This record gives sequence, structure tokens and C-alpha cells, in this order.
Amino acid sequence: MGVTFPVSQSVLDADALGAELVRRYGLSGEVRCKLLSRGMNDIYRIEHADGPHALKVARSGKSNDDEFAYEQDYVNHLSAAGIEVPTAIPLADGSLFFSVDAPEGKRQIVMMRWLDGQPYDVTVDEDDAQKLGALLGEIHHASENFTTSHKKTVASEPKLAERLPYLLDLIRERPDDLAYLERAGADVLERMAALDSVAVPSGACHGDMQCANVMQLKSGALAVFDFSDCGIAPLAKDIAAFYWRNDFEGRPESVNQAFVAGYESARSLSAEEKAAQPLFRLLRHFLITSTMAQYVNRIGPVPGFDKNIDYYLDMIRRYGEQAGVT
Amino acid sequence: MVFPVIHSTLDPRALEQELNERYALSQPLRCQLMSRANNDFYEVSAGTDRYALRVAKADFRTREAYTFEAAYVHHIHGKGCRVPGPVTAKDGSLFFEVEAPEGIRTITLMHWLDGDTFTNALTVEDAREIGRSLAELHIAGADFKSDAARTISASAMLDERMPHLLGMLKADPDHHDFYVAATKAVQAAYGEMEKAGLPRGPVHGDYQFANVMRTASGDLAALDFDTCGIGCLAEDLFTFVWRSDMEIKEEAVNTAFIGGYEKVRPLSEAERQYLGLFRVARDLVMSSTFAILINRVGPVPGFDGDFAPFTALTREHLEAAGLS
Repeated sequence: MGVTFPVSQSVLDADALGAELVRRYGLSGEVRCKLLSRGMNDIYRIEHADGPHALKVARSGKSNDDEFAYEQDYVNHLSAAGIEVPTAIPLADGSLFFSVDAPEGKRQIVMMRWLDGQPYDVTVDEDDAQKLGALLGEIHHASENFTTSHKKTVASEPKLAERLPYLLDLIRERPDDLAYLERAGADVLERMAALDSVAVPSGACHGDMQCANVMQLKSGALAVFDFSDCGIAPLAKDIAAFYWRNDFEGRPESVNQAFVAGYESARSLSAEEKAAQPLFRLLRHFLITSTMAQYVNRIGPVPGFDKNIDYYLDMIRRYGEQAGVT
Repeated sequence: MVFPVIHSTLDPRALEQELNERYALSQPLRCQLMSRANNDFYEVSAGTDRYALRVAKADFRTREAYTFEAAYVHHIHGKGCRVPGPVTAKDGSLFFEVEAPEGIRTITLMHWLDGDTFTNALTVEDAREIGRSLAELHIAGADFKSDAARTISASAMLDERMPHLLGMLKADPDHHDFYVAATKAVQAAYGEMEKAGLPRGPVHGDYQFANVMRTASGDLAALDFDTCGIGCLAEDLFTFVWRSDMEIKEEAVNTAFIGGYEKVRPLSEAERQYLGLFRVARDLVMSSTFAILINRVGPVPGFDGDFAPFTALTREHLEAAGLS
């Protein structure tokens, strides 16, 4: 093939993927590969004699190989600790993932355990929120002795610094918002850098522990998936992903409170960690909005982000005020 | 070696450069992805002007088919129909092609239409108005002439697409055998219908409510001429009816739609005889189309593997058409 038009994202051919899996995993018999969803990552369902399995084709540039290896090690560690997660299936050569050259760049691919259940409804109530909070606390507890030779940080602050310009560009014709976001963004980054790393400890985190990434298995147990954003970060910041989704769904504050109460049943928050919650919540709103602004030209509009950016800016201002950023 | 891909998203910055070279557009020019599906759409702003850019699925249709579509939409746009008419490039062409990793993709820059597309919450009165607007399109297209041939035939579509649905139903012999028999009956009836000499002309091909827009000025606009061509005018009515059957499920809406159409273009007795056939043919075409789409764009809402609602409707329409 000669030089083709530049592309920002591609969808790999399902049949070619099936053949690749046969070769790399030593699968036998008929292998069927079906595209389930396209998004930041593409997910396929793999049917074969020892299946089904899930296949994640990571977005190009999302992680380097070392970071992707960290993710697999972390998921396997949590599994060994009794947490229900989509563990990576080893390839015939023992490795946990492989990569292919897509038109837009290298993409890592991992075949994972299939989780048989139903993802949580986005409108969780207080009881469910408490269970989800307790699960996050257990994950953090189980992560305490996690070690790996690979490195990955959640890196919310550098991501915000990188992505904020896309958001500023999107609102370039709204000078008041532009000035506020520039000022608030700098303030958030400064405050994050000033956190006391002893009172607000870091550790391995899920990175996107919102209700839609938790599944009720048929066995009744809760499973957590989508560790794409995992890595080292302040543990207490991991709670903020739940706030963000809950805010987005318009759920009451009592649901967030139940989530935190559940979390504290497994791991107590220090006074400093509690005090930092408004800052973490603001950072989450800021980061998600900036991320959508960056990726809108890659994966298309994110539901709710196509016409009404006012909601997102209102959220940043609202939680900015709560965090003392004006 | 680059891994085989079935779909790619073209880089908006590269598209901006391409548009600047090919079209006389105001500046600054910005291109932003709006949606990814069978075709990808971008919003293009050029100074104070707005356009929609369609990047068609690779190798989906022939160049001749795109030539027909562009010329037809250009024609009815010129006759005052509210449609996304193609913008003429500096070289006089109405579209261009690029080589994407998965194949040739055809790109059309279109005039922007501002408004809201209809949803399944549309009223009976809306349906009547949509029916009238389809008849107006048919009349506006009556004098359209094109060197490029593009015919619409449900029977030919079934030849091409039904094997995909039957492949998905391998493990479900009851459904599989029903669709084999239904397709055979419908194709045989099409053979007879084609001898009846029903009025033919340019048809939209997918006049479902989601492809009709209430513009900011209050009138109706037609979108997405991706599947237009020369076909039986009366058959075009059932692209609306199919979607209505699936999502609205009120016969009054279908009746109002056809009534609205007939206010502008009354159906002949010969056409009326085949309305039942057109309805069930559309059911079969759409079920088999979804079967193809699933591995290309992921799950299609409402088509997640439970064929029962589709089959029930098809059975009902097959019987109503006297073909069961």
C-alpha cells in the first residue's frame, strides 16, 4: 500500500484479528471475533473453544508498552488478591499483550477474561454507592503490596496541562470563560503540587472508578473493569471519578456521601485527604472536559458534549467555587 | 506491515488542508468530527459560512453511484428543495476521493442545514407533512437526467445482503428457514411487480424520520441521500414506514404519512396493489443490512441478537401482503 490519507483513528478488521489471535495465543478450532464497542479503546468479543474472552485494542498513543504492562500486572495482582477483574490471558510465549501497527500508530492488544454480568446502571442509589465505595477501598487495600518493574502514573496533572489548550481553543470566542479556565487551571495544578504526600498518600489506583466500570456478575459478586487509566496517584483522588459520573447523571449528593462512607469502611481517609476532596472533584471535572475537547476530533462527539458545553463549564465553576478557586 | 483495518477516521487537520486546496472557501477554515458511523461527518466552518462534510465508507459504492447522488441532490437543490446540496469545487466537481488505509473514500462538501431532525416522538400531523415533503422531492426529481446509472431494487439488495443475516442465524434454524422462505416469496413477487410498469424516477431511498429535519425557518429538509437512485416511487414510502413500524408503532402515523404524500402525488391503483409487498421487502432489507453493519460499526441499537421483534413484524407484513 502506498501513502494513504492521514487518519486519527482506525477500527481493526475483526477477521484479521481472529487470525492473529490463533497465531499468537495458539487457539484451536473456530475463532470468531465480533466488534462490541468503539470508543477510546475498541472492545471485541472472542468466541472460541475455551472462550468467550474480551479483547481490548487500545487507542494509539494512550500508553507506552511499559505502562500497558503495568496495567496488566496490576489487574493480575488484584485478581490474586480476590478482586473480580478482567485478567489478561497469557499468549503462547507467556507475554500478556501484543502490539500491531495501525495506520495511526502502534496499538496494544490484550485478550482478557470475559466478565459475565451486567454493568452497573449509571443511576446508582445510596445502597449501591456504598457497595461500590467499599469495593474501591478494598482495591486500594489490596494494592498496598503491589509491586512491578513497570511504571505508570494516573498523571491527571500533566494530562490536564496537555489537554487544557484544546478546551481553551474550543471556547476561544467566550473571553470570560477563557480567562476563568486559564486562571483556574493554573490554580488547580499549583494546589495539586502543594499536597502533602504523607498526609495524602499515593498508591496504585484504578483511575476511573465510576459506576459504569463496575459490573454485577451473575454470581452476585462485583467486578471492576477498564483499568486503562490506572497507575500511581493520590489514593483519595480515585474517589473523584465516581463524583464526576454522579454529577453528570444529576444524582444527589447523598449518593456521593454513601460512596465515601463505603470507601471508609475499608480504608479510612485522613483529615487532609477529606479536605482535598473538593480539589480532586474540580480536577476531575476539568480533566474530563479537557479530554473531551481533545478527543472530539478522534472519536466524534461524546454524548452530552456535542451541543451543550455550558453544562461542563458550569460544573467547573461550581466545584471551583467549592474548592476555593474563583 | 500495517494491520488490516475496516474503518478509519480521517484526520481533520489534513482534511482542512485538502478542502483549502480544492474549494474556494472563506477563512479561517476549521473541520471538526461530528459523528462516526457508516459514513463519517464533519462540521466545517469557513469564515462565517458553515458546511457539512461527508466522508463515505470506503469502497461502499461505485464512483458512478456517487456521481448520480451528487448530480441528483444538486438538481433538486437547484429547484428549491431543502436538501444539503453539494458545494462545487474549483474544478467544477461535486465530490472528490482520497485513499484511506481501508480503501477509497468519497468526500462531499455540502451546504449546512440548521434545524432538528425528527425523532420517534413525531406527531400524526408531522407524519402528514413528511409525506408531503417526500412527494415534493419525487416531483422535483421527475425531470432529472443523469449519465450515471443507479437503480434501487430491494430484490437485488436481498441477493447481496440476506446471506449475511442467514450466516448470523446458522444456530437458529427456525429463524433461518423463515428468512429463506420469506426472501424467496418476496423476490418472486418482485419479479411480477416489475412487469406492472409502476411509475419510476429518482427516489431518496431512506426517507425515515431521522433523515428529515425541521429547519430553523419551520419548513422541512431532507438529509442523507446515500441510498438514492432510480426506483419505484411508491416503494420509497416504505423507508419511512419501516422506521415508524420499528419505533413508533402507530398505524395512524403511517396512514397520515401516506395521506400527506397523496395530497401532492396521488398513488395509482397499480401502485396501491403493491404497497404490502414494498412493506415486507423493506423489513427484510433492513434486517439483512443490520447483519452486515454489526461487524463494521459495532452493535446497532435494537438489533442486539434478539430477532424476535423483527421476525414478528416481518411475519405480520408477509401475511398482509398475501405472501405467507
